Amino acid sequence: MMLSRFAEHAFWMGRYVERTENMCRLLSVTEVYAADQESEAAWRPILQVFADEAAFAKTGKPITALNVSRFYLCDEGNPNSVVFAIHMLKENARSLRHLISTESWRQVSVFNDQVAGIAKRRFALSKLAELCEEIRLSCFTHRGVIEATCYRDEVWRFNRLGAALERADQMTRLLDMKYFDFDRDDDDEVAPPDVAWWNTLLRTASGYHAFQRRYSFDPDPTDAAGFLLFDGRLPLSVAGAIQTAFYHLERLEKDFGAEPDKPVREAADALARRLAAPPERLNGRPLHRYLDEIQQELITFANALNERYFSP
Amino acid sequence: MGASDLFSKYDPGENFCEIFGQGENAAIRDDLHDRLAAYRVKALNKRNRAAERELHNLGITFTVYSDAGAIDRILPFDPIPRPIASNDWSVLERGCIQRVTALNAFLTDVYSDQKILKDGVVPRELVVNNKHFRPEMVGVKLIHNTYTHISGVDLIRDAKGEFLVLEDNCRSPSGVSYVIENRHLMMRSFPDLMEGVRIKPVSDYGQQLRSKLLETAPASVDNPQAVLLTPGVFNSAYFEHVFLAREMGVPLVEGRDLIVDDDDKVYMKSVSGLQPIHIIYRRIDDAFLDPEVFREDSMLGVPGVMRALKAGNVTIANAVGTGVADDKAVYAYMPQIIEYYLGEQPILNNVKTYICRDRDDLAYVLDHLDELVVKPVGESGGYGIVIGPKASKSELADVRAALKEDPENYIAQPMIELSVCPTLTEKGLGARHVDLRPFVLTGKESWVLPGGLTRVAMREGSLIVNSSQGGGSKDTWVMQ
Repeated sequence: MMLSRFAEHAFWMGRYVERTENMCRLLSVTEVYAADQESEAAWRPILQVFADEAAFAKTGKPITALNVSRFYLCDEGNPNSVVFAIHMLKENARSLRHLISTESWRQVSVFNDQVAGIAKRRFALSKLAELCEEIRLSCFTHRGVIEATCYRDEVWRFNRLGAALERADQMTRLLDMKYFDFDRDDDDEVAPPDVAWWNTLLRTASGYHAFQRRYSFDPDPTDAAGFLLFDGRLPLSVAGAIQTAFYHLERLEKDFGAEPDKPVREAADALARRLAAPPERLNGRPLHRYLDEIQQELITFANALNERYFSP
Repeated sequence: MGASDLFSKYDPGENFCEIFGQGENAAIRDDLHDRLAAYRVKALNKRNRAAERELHNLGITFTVYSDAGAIDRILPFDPIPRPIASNDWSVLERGCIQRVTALNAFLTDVYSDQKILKDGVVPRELVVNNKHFRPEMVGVKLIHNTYTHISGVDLIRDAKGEFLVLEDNCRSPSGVSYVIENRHLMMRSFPDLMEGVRIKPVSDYGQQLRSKLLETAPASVDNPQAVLLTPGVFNSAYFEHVFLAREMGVPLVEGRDLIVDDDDKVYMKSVSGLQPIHIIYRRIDDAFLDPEVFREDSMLGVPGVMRALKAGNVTIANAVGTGVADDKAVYAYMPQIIEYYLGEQPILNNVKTYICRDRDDLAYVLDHLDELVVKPVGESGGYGIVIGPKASKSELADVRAALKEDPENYIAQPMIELSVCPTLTEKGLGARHVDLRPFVLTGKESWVLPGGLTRVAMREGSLIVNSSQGGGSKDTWVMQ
């Protein structure tokens, strides 16, 4: 018997950690790839992916590596920033403290101090990769602590459900980074990202080596996209994350009697259908549109979950 | 004394010392002394800083909110334990139970027949005009006549070593989480200091609390469900609410999570629909509990919960209206209250208290204002207290006028003496004043958590042990 409010806090704890981890991946991949590019061209896509161009413009600062990465790591006023996400992680955990393990709370608390410390320090660009790595490690630790110490009740299920959903959402954004230009209505050809980009992306998603083993001959960028989207064995793949989300929902129903209502089932079906119908070639505008539609279906699904479970 | 530099500057002065004053219990004194003598000041301070860091990381904190955001502060921890000999404890235990039994009998009476008022033992207006008296509770029957399920009895120890009751807490006494967490911290961080010491355990408090609460469930319910009702994460005692809910294994809910339906039953909004609730351990004040009855603007309460109470569908712990029993003016009558209901003499004495509504007492108080502490009744948290020996001439003149104007609103007590306990400082052990708050749980019968919260004034000479004013806490060892 669990309060709706607790389910919601658990769900958002999961989301904020995944969001944080992915933000660090995005910043790392951009930095690595931006080394030989003009700063603005390399860093604008992140702002586009999060629809933050207007919000960033309000800071009055030029789009540079340092300004954008500070905006996403340390800007407390930016709801997409890591410092905000980890603060929210802690506040959600605070409301759940009696239901999560003491080890989990301890880790969240130390994690929040760590991130708040970074935010205070005004880091230099040379430190960015190291900071992102540190934060990602804390995300892994967090997941490990939850995995190792939390009782497998509804709280845990909702936490994992939120994490899986956020992961799917964030992975579509990561994939979409280089495709944002395809959103334009004119028919100008935009050069699709090259092999070097995909290699960087695969490494960032911890999938490079597995990809090499899986596709040993003549790797094609569209194979890389397919791998990141559909290979359920890759922890970060979109399909894998969505399957995981569906699995936790099923367990919530079967083990705890928290059965989904009609809108939740319909949204889940629509998401599964959309995922199963990718464009013929995973590149260019069709890929961008496809990713966009999956994001929309994920949002609809999340809204249905919210209505059913969190707003009685 | 060995190589230790811990004791080189220790001097309890005229005060009773909780370790070295244990005259009849030399074994406790010598054993603790020998254990502590193994440490050096610097090393002990270093270890204590690590222990306090761990408290912070574990979130054993109270939260202070300011413009700068939420700050989680720890209650300063002192690693030198405060021992209580087993024979002393058995007296304290019986004394606390006697007191709480009398308080519950008093509350049952004032909310039903009011015999004690009719018999003139306690002045009627003291009770019915009290701002904590809740007329809504008159005639409401409670299971086992238990009003104060969770009580804290504040004790001090005078220069002769006698324990005296300073105050009763029957509303929402807090601090018990520190008792258990301090013990856990001692075991984690100072296992060498505790090795082989035989002390009574405290870690089953949550189980005891749960079973005492369940004893008071509405009679008609087979499988009662309890919750802990908190004002929310912004409350400074939120950690304790988390702790208690966790230790009891019950949901920690806010007012918005509960509803009272037209059937006068309480439900909580769960992911599987509405689930019935039968016992509410509430950590919010009467005034905020039910906007249908008390403050209409309360966002923290549960509209209709008083209806559910009167219909016999829910138990509220502590009961509404218990504040009338821990009032300072009623406190002065506790010896008479104990005798009236139990036919016994108090096992634990009050601090000498002058009731200013009494003409002789008032005359004495006015004559000795510069020696006495004058307290307004019905206030808590030290509000409005005038400490005679420290007051200026104009402050004394003001309080003299106030006393003549409205004597019924005041009591007076001699300057209290607090015992001291060796406490770690940068320079070794210093004598610091301590008090003690045992916790008494009452369902069908009462149970006392061995020991209780020892609060310590960390500043030299200070008598103020409140956490808001630099007080810390210690582990309390009841010897077996």
